Amino acid sequence: MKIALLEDDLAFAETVIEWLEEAHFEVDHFETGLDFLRQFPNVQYDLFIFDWALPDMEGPDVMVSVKLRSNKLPPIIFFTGRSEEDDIVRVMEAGADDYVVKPASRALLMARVNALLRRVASQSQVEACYEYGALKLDTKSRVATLAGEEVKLTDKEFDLALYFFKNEGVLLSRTHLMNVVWGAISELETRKVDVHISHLRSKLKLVPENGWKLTSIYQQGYRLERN
Amino acid sequence: MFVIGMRLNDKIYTAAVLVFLSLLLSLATEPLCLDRLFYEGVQLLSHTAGGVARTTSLPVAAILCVFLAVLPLLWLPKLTPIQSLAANLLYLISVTGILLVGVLVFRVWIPPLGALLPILLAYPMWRWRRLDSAQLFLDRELQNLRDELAALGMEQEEENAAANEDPLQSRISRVQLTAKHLRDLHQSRSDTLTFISHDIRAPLGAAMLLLDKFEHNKYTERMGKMITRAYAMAEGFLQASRAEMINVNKFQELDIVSLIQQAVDDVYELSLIKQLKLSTRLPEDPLWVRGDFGLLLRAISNVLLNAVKYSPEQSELKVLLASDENSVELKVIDQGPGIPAKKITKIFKRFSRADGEHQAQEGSGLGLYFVSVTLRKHRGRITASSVEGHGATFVITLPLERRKANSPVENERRALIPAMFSDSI
Repeated sequence: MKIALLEDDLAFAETVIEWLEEAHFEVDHFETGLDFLRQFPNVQYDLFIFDWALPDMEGPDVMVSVKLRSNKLPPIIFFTGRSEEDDIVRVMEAGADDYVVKPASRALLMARVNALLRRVASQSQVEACYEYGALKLDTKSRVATLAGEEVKLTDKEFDLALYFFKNEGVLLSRTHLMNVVWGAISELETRKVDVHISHLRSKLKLVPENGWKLTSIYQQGYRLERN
Repeated sequence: MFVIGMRLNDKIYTAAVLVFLSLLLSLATEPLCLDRLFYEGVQLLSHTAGGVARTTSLPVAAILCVFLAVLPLLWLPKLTPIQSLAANLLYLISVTGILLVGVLVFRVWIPPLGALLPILLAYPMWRWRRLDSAQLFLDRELQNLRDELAALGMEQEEENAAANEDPLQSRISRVQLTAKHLRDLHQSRSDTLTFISHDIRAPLGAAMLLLDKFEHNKYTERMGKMITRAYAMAEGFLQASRAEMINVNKFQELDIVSLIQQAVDDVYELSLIKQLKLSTRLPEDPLWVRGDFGLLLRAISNVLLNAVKYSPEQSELKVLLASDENSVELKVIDQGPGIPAKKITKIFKRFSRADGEHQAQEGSGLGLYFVSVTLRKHRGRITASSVEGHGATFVITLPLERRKANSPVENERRALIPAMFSDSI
């Protein structure tokens, strides 16, 4: 697995490279946006990690350039000191798959990296049954069971649950969820997503006591994580 | 106070002018040929009605006129411009009517000029006074603002350039310049925030990572604590300023139940370490509030973290959410040492800290201040109560979002109920 790291702060870069290499990833490090834009088409990468503030350009702009130059791209994670809602919404809207706010722990960064790589690997296949601890989702009969007992889910709730579990640990943007589960609904129905997520949480008991955490990221995205 | 004084001055001023005018017209009315004309007209009228009208004595007429002339001041200050104009016209017509009735029915002739002319003038007179004092007031406020900005080092425009233009134009340009200065200040404030958010936190963050490379000993541990604290302070300052600068127009509708659940989820691990019993009671269904998701989540997390921090091991921490039709109320009840009565009023102030704890363990002193600012901006509030030695209770209230009828989502929510059975939302 090959990862491109775009980071101008050498202290950060050094640490992150060390983490990634210890997890048996190959890492190419770039310090400037231009450097990266020149090099990336020549190598097949599995993941990009971008910093926000670079000496020559801003991370989100690099991302836009990258998207213009290539149509098949690996997932992109922003690793940034910026934690403002506006900034996070901006990178998500520009097409980033996830973000990690500096200074992050090794465990957090690696969890995000692994979640995205896992998602890429498992995207094509649909299995007959998914099991997550006490939770079971049967995709044939579309029945969800919690500790052996059937949980009544609506069609949409089942889709949403399946999608969340298949993308465990991955940040799923609200627009993305709307498109996948409802096939695009109008912006007026913003409550819909929240209502479904709230039902899902209470019906499937997705709380830390059961080892789950279902998080809303500024209502712009959602993430289901194992505690 | 100033405005009230101004309003009184305006009344007195207008009244004085009206009284003077009215007296002048009624006492010097004989030589005026206008009045003569009126008089002859009236005599003619009264003759046709059968009889000659008696003219009232000059002083009586004058007093009556003065009284009629200042009467509009009773309603002028209370009505809008268009209303007062209409009221005055109506008043003018009725006074004329009464005078005519006096002549025709009671055969008493009061020379009307001293009343009618001041009544006509009362409205423009009053508006002019009001405008003048409003302008004076605004000029004064503008000057104060400009003085303050000048003290902050904002440059002033060239005086002679402004002096060449007419007063109104120069006033407008002064207002524009001041507004620009205020915008600049706002901008420089957010620039400072961005600077702090990135340029101070980034090196601290890098230092935290680097420290991990050293073997752990008591020095690295102490350094780690210092860096963490500095980072927390930069973060706390940034959050507090962000809350102060919330843009209310960017508020969005959010489900407060999920938000609180999320905040509770976030402290779960910490409460596990302290073996706390987390008793959460939240409603099943969403409750909608209008606000900033990130700030509200952080505010509620701050309150919960605070409660976890002060809870003794193995104690109970209650998180209860209740609602009525207008608002939600969140109670966070801990069994910690409580807050002394004399401190409790201060905990929501800037840079306040509870006593009796070592400094290195403290946060930025901005945590609860941030909470109270955030809630105030959401038209909610936070209060604390405590019996020393018996824990503390924090109560947060927030107004619920009220949807207009017919809104599409309201329909959608109603549709949800049957859909639960038909399984086809």
